[in-house]
Amino acid sequence: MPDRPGKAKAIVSFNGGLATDFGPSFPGAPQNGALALPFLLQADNIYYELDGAPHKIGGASRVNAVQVTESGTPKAFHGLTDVWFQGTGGSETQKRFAYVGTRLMKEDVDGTWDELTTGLEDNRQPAFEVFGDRVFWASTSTVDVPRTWDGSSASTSVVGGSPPNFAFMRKHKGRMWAAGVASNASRLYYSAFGNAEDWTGAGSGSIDIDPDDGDRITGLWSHKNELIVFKGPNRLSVHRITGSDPSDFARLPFVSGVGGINHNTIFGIGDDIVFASPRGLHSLAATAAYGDYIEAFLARPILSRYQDDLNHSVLKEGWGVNYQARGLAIWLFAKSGGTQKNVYLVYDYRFQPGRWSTWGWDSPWLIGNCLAIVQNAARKHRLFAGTVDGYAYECDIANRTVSTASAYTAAWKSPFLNFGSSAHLKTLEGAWFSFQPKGNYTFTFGYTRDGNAETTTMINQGGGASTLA
Amino acid sequence: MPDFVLDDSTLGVLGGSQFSTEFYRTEGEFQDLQIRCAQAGTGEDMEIHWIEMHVTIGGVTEE
Repeated sequence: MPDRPGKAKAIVSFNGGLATDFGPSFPGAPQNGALALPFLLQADNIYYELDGAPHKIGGASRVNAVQVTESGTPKAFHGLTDVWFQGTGGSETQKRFAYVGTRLMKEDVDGTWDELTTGLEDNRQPAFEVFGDRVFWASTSTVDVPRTWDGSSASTSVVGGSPPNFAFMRKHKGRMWAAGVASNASRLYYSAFGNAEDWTGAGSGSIDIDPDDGDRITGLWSHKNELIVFKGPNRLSVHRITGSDPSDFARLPFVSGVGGINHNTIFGIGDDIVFASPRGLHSLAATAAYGDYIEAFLARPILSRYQDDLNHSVLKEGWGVNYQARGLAIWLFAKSGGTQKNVYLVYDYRFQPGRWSTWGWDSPWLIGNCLAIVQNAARKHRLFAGTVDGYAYECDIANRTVSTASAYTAAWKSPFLNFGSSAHLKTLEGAWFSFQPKGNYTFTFGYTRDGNAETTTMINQGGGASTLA
Repeated sequence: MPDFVLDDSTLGVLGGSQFSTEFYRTEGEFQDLQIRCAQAGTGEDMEIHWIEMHVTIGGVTEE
């Protein structure tokens, strides 16, 4: 843009994601007529196209038409997972497996949740794992013990082999590893080789991870031939378990000052692990390089939002998934002021650096309670969510509604732009919006000049209206 | 004329087809400017790729 009076143009495009901590303004001048926004101050209910364009996220539709209730009261989906049983017939059988209210339930891709087990404690945090063509379930309940299901029996069964009453588990190097035992909060247990229902025989055992350090083991992830052990929620630390056999299993401290809040917010993306701590969202690779250096936090662009605007008293009930179909790492948390998990922090790792957005932050989207990646009826890996009112949902559908009726607002907002100079007074002449038309309807464009109230108008997406039906 | 199908990859009925540009005459003086787009409609989508803005640059202000 010339530094003297005259006409100028700026093609405003998108070169960054949500970064609420980067400040309210960007002083860059257009270069060769182009002004790439390095960040956005609002990016809600959107994901990014690969050229950076914000696109309204899809809606969500119910998997089950009939609400899951107990004695007439809707019950919450505490956890949900997709299980494929191999069997011996040469083709896998899909079941959705869930912990709902006080029950374990299955759904045969028919839209109906069937009861498998009753009488569990309500409102605990579950974990799921598949081992030996069976699905395993455990929870933070100190009353309920781990259970397993073979995909065809009418009910689940208690995990055999005298396991400890663990809260979560992870398959690693041919064994089931588990932790979260209330009476031994820093003890990591492992089963016998190849048998997740043998916890006392040859090859089984345990490893203590800094016992009585003020933290407990909060999560496990198998990564690059090692088991990564997360502790929290106070002092925070991460540890590595190396070796392949009890004869050479070893614990190596990895980092302190960063740890995990729970098992269900840890997951892999690409060649890395991402996880939530009370301090922010992290990647293991960045943590390996920079430790607890705050500038290396994955959530650095939105860190104040994470630290100040989430309900940290229920942070340990969060969920996270790798939605590979869109290249998104997604975490579900409760916003400050409530306990319902109503906001999604979304990290698009297809970009370098990744780009953040939120779902449900400024405008309610689907209020979830748990997340999972599940193959839908068309065999596509999609984002699913369970809610507190007895429904499971398939998310990111083509229709831009939740439950076929509820609207939500997609919105993005730039920082204040001075087009290269705040000293020069400038006059807006016009704007040309280039978009992929989605239908014969409008979107809102707003612009705010200095301290004035925002001016808004509606832009018609129909374009050549005469050609519309 | 065929029905319009949401998210259909072929949007021929829209005239603008796969891509469209719409003009809006903006006005007003500014030193710093913030822009925002939003879409709140039931079942309605939005995917904006860029906005070309034309401005006239005036003199230096001491306000």
